[in-house]
Amino acid sequence: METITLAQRILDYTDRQIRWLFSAPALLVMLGLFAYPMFRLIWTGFTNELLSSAGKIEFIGFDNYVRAFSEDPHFLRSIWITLSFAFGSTLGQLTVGLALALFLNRQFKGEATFRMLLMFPIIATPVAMSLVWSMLMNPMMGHLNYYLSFLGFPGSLWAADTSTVMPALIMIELWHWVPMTMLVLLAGLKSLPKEPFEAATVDGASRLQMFFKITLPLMQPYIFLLLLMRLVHGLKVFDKIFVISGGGPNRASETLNIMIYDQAFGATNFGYASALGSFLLLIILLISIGLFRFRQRSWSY
Amino acid sequence: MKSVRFGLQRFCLAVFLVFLTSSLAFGASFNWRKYEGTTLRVLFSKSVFTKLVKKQVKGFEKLTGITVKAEYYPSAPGRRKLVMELGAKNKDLDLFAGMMKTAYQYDKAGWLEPLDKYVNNPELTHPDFDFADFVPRTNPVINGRLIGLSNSANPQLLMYRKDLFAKYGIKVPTNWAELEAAAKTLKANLPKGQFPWMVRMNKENTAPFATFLYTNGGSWLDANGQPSFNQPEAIEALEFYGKMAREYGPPGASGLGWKEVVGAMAQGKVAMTVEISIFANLMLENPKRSRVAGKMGYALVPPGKTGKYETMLPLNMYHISSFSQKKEAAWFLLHFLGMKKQQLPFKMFGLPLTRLSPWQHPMVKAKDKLPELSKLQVEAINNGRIGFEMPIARFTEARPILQRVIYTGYEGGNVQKAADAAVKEIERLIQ
Repeated sequence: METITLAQRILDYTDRQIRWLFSAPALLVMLGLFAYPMFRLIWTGFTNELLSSAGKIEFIGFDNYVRAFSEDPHFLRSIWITLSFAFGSTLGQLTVGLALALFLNRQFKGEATFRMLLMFPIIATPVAMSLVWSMLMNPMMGHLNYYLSFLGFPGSLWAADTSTVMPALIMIELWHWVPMTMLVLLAGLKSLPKEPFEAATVDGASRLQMFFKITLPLMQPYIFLLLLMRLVHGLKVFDKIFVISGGGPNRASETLNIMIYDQAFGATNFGYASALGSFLLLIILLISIGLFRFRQRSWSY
Repeated sequence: MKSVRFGLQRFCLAVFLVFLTSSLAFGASFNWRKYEGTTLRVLFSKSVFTKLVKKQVKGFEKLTGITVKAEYYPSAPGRRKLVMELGAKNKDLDLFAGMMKTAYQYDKAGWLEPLDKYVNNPELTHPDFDFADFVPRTNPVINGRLIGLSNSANPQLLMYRKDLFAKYGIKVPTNWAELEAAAKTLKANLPKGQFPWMVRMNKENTAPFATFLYTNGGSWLDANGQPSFNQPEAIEALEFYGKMAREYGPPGASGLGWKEVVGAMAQGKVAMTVEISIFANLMLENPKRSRVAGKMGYALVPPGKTGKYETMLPLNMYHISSFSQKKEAAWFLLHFLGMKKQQLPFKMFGLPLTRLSPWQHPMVKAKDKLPELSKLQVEAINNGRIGFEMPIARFTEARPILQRVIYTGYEGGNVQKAADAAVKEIERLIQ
């Protein structure tokens, strides 16, 4: 029987534990950049930190959350606005993106040029692009209403009215991100195996049947990935709304992110803003977990 | 004869001694080079006047030997940065641009250095500074302390198309009834796509509304510092402001800010507005930027039932940070920028100054293409009321609450109910 010496034991132990030493720098960076700010956010949400106050910062428990749910009439409204923007824009991007991907998944003259032209919105800087859109959508002087009237359609108030501001913002979000979803879905379509389609053709399946029974199920991983990515992005979107509507008119497009920004950097109410930020984090976490659970339960090839 | 000569000698000696002592006294009391070698860090607001400010800062550096590290930011993001720096009690920041609306918040937080001791100190203030030359009501005072030095107050005026007024026989309105009558006449005559009236209705709507509130005898707060904009005078003002925008303005007014209002005015799409008057100097009367240059008329905003022309004055100023380690050197720069010689070029460019003498300077008068406008601006500054936001520390939180009430007036909703609810929300903020 082979005996293990103490020196060997020490070497074995060192060998097993040395990984921590090597991964320590990366772990420290991760902790510093992600864990600490998140901890600070959650902690500050339980305090009354008001930057423009000479008073002491005190722990106030769940007071900020109580205020959000019982005293602040805009909080629940902003959650609704955030969710409607995120879900509305994500579903729109997936639908239009898939339609375009199906259209481009065939050979036709000028296909490459068309695809390249569709890519332009992705490279646009969000702030510059938002400024251009806000000029185009100006109800009195904007080009959109001019061309609509030229074609005989009535103009819209776009981002200048409480009832049209959200559809207008979703429309811009679609313009910006549909090319990206289209690109991912097109890559997915191109990678699908040909055999199931050939078999379905032999069996006499219609194009519609093939789409719903073969294409969509096979595309599920791509659609799921986009659903998750775009939904999380939609929940966090800030730049476009900030530039185009600033959360208005009359707070009709005030998402949770805009509200957090106003509370933190306008009112300097960091305690309350952090509580709202923690709540947004919770919403994103719950939606992500829900989507993963759904993905696990749903079938795949 | 001898006694006369002796008397003359004594007199000359006395004059010489007075001259010598006084010049020595001045020399000892004020010296621009006192803080030579110091470095100041300043946050300026970026505007059309930035080039001029930069030039003056260079002049200051040359005169004093003080180095100025100047940063220029657009007003809104600049304010965000400022709040973060002051909130962190940054000792590195010495001087910064501000407005009256933010001063209440900054003062409550203890971020502003009171300036009274500097203004009244001959060792720190140049004898030619002449503080009395500033319109007294534009000196930013909170709780009896001077917390900044104002440089401009942009009075609001009624801006109207005098060609359209002449065409349709409309007299310049002097009260709300006449204002509405003018709008009604214009509505009946203007072609499609042109509107009689346009004012801000987005989140900036408290600015023009404040003038309507003040001239109708209303106020944001009562004498005890409690919200009072649910009182009858304020309700009348809310209803009138909303009605004018609803009935005589373009559709979708809820998205209108100053850019849209001034842009539409410059394009000739609007006949009347109430806006801060510098837009007339910088844009509306500039033929390169406006289609209505030379066609504009200006008047004091028609008052409500007080009959008193009490225009809202948005006040721009500079503050010294209470955390600064070089407050006296910072005051050197602050009062240098506020001196007559330095203020004059700003007036030449059309900035409505709070210092009065540059308005009367022969060079300004000779080059003033809009003397009637200048006259109105001075009158408005002399009779104006500072500030368009609620004068409380948490004004940023109060603003959307007030904005909603004003918007209710535009929608034709129950303004009294909205104002009562808003007063309760504001009371919580004040507490």
